[in-house]
Amino acid sequence: MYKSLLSFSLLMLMHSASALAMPEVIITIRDHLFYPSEVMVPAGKKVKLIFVNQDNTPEELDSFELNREKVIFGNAKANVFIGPLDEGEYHFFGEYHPSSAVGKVIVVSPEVFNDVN
Amino acid sequence: MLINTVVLFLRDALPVFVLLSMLRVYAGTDWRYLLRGLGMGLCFSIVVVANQHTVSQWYQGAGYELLKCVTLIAAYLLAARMVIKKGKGFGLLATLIVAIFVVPRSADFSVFVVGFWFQKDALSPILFGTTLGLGICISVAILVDVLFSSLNKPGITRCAFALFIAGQVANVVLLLQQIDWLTDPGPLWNINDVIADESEYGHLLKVLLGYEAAPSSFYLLTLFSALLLPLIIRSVLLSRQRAPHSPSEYQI
Repeated sequence: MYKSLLSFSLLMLMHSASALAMPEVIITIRDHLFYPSEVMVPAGKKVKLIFVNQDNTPEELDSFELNREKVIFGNAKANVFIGPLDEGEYHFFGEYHPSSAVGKVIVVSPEVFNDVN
Repeated sequence: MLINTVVLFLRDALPVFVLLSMLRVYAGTDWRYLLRGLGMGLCFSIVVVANQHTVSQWYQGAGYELLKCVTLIAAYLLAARMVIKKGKGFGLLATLIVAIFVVPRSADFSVFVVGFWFQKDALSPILFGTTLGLGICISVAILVDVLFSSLNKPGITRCAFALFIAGQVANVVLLLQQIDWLTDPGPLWNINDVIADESEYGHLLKVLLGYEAAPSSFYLLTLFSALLLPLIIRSVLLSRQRAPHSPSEYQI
């Protein structure tokens, strides 16, 4: 019983530790546009994208390439986890304003990512 | 705005219309039960929309995804029971399936409508787009109904129904990966060049079969388990019923 409790606690601790080390990127939605519209993330790592919607209307983040879909309410924020991803470009858009709200996640090698940051 | 409304309506409403058709053909459900379920689902979705902002903030912003997962799993379990054991009294079950299934989908579309309802020049494209989307959904639902009714092969209809519900519940994997409750092992392959997820065929196949151009191992495992489990359980139950009685049963 104690052994399983200990293993569970260790597992949770490891999960929390990995969550703490997870890179975070903040993307703001303003006037139905993403700022920044291009974000760079390291390959092979899980990344937390934090969307902050400063508009009064909701926006729905959609990406076929990232397989993500999330409503972000007006004047609210939402988290979306992506990855680990291979190097390349992954497009996303605002489902409610697909012509203006467009952006992409550029996945680069960890070395390039560290150099840039 | 017009095209956008049509696309969003199709994404959210098409699965509901296909479900209604499948339930009518497969389980022979009376329209009254289905419409009752639809009404109940729409009423529940009003409650969800009214509290959606609050719900979405639960569990560190994962609340709405979890609510969607719960509705998808609940609808799947009820539908799987229908696949396993066909019998009387499925009208109420069909009502429940539709009611649960409709909630997140109509809530998603309502966020869009409510969000833009009061914007200048948005009302007429929304109404026109909804009408167009409704027309397409009704056409597809009639096609599905006519196709499976004319086939008159209960086995094929059952498999199609099982595949449809499996495709819907497999979305739970994507939702859990989005909120970091499940690891994303990455895609096993990528056939976006053949049928892209964002294409018309991709959308239709996603609704009917749970198609993903770049599926992960978790997604495929969930899809096939959800498809095969009810069918296997049904076969086992049927073979047990058909098996000759053991001698001990005749000794009395």
